[in-house]
Amino acid sequence: MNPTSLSRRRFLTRSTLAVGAGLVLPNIIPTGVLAAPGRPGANDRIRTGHIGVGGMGGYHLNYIKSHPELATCVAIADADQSHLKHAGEVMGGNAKLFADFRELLALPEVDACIIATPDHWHGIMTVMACEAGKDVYCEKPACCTIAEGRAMVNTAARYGRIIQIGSQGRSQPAAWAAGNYIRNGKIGRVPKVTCWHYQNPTGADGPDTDPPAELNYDMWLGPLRWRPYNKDTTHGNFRWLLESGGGQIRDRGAHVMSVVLFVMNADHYGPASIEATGLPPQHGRYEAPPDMEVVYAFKDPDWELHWSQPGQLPEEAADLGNNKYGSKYWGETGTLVVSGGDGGTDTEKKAKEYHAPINGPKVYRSPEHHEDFFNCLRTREQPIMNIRAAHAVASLCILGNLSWRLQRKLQWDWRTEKFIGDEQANLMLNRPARSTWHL
Amino acid sequence: MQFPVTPKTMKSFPPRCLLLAVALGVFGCAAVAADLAEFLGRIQSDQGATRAEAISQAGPAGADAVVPLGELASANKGNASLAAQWALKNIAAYAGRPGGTPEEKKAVAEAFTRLLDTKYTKVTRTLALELLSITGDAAVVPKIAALLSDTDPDVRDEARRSLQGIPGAASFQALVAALPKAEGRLKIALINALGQRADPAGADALMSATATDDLEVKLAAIEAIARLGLPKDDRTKIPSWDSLTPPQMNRMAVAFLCWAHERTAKGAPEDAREVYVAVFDNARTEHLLCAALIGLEKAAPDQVVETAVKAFGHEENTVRVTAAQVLERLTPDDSRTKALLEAYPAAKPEARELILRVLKTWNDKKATS
Repeated sequence: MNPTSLSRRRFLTRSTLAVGAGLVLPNIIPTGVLAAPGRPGANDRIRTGHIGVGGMGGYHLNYIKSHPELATCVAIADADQSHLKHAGEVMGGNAKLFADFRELLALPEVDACIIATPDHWHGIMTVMACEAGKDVYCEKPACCTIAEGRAMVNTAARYGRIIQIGSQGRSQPAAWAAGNYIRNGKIGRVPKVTCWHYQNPTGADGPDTDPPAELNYDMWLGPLRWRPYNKDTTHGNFRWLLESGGGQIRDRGAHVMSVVLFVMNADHYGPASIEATGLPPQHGRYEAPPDMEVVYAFKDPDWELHWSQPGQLPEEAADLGNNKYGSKYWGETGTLVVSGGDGGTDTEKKAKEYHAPINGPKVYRSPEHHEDFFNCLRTREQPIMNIRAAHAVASLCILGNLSWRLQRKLQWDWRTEKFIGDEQANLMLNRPARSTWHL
Repeated sequence: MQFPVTPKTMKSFPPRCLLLAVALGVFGCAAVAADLAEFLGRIQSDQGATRAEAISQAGPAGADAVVPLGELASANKGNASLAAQWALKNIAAYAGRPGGTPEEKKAVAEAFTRLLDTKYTKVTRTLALELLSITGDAAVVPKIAALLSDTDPDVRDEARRSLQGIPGAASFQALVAALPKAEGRLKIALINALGQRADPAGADALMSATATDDLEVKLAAIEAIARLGLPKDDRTKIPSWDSLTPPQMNRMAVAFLCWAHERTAKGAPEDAREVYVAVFDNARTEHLLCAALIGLEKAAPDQVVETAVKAFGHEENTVRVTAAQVLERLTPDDSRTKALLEAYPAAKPEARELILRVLKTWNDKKATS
């Protein structure tokens, strides 16, 4: 059968595949939309649809609004009517508003989605957005499970979509300077990196209640395992329950460890073992351990990553900005500190003033995190925090929590993304989504 | 706090010391009961530090502690109830640890099934279902499956999630068995579960599920069938394209592409090629065109050059660039190079730029190989 000569009429009559009837694919979009502008060319403005506009979502909305040269927001979706109403006012009535993000994904005029929902939505929503033809800027961490991250990587590859995850620390000048300094061997081989971060909060002692009228709690829960509504575990407080937010290691750890993997040029492989310790919270519904220690052992090349809450502020960080968290690189011939890891990232003067030799390793320099994303929508090249790199980072966060949750050291095969000799841990690499949601 | 007698230690007693073993067993039970009471006391302590320590040591408490902890978790006693929930999680984790005995795990799982009773709170019942998904086996499936018809829709769905997470044929068959009579969201959730498990044994049930006027059920079943990647079969009922909204059409196309991907993975690229060519020839949305190009790269690398050349003429920048990226990943050879050179004269400027880019990449590859 010569596929190029196969007409639509012949599609209707010949027997076909497992899905049964004729393999007929007519115009997938209605006639009216054929007249609509196509995807952006080199000089076109990109049209964004924003899903989740509380907290960081509000930040992204305001950023896009104040950078019309990059993009225009044409649609907004949020499960909370009060967030939606406020966002609509911010946009001056110039964006379509939806309570159900699926209606936003169905809009042909949306080129890219900005997803700033709680973490438990990131995986499924990103996969759905890619399948709907949208490029995606999604807040960090990329995902809550290893399976979600893998699905995001695979779906982006399958549809040729560009995904940037919002670990904007990599786009900070200080992160580039640190990477440039270390990758050019200024402190020699680095067998150890230590991270410090302040403790996880405890709390949410109050009772469960009915959700407020403006919140579609069923939609807010989405794929997350059912739990009763509690104002202290919903919206921004999703962070402190392991299933939805994962605590600081998955929240800001996604920033700090993103910079670590970037500086160490280690996006392409994972740890061989993970060991976490820490006592559970003493009261309340929050689940993340107030204090936590995680050791990740990498092989080939060999190095260790230590995540410590609260950890210890290095002396060198005392005068750096945003130093409540960060990372220290212990090289064979010196050390370097990078404070922060998110939008406020700083490093030592010696790195900031360093100029690499002409023939030295080159470190990708992002113009700015949003700008990097929008540039890549046109060039179709991978942005600095592409989904593969983000999956590697989120995996560290997830694995650390799994080790803590299971109260044991875990051996990890990063190539197969499976634990070695731990069937129960392998069952926790994925979790069935609630209701009708699925990866 | 150590639990001095565990199922494992009791098993290690030599058979000829039966009387001693019995005596020790009696003593052991008493010791365990005392330890359990002490442990439960610490879980309910009004001192947070004591509770936290008890939680961290809960694992070895094992099956005997499950029901008392479940009662405490359901007792609405604030932090004590929360601590009990935590302890249950750690018992589940400990039971499933490498080196743990199957008997221990079975006992814990069986104990969790007792928490499914309606006398426990919804929070406790759904927690038990969650923990059964990482400790359960075929033996607990019937008790979980019974909850697929619970009066509470959240409990029904959590039972479905629990079954979906338990590996093995028993849980899978329970999902299949529940499908015909299920309604509403649960029906679609069960269909999705069968698709996610991707077990060919679910094919018949899924194909039967497509024989419905409910479009959402039909589409969910088609999507699930696509994940199985089975050879062609006419028993699946496809809706008329005219009956679909544009988002539904997209879902159908995505299902076709998913099936094609699975067929390639299963070593049947010819099936996949048909889909990708049909998608490329008929679809108008750029992401489907891109997916077709990317799919052809794996399924029919000898064909993709021809398709990519067509793509270079597309109005969408994304399609053109994707075509270039697909070609750049190929191993260059003379026929591929010739095809691009022949396309170059008639190509538009933006396409010519991409053709040159690909040729340069191929040239660099040859130089370094």
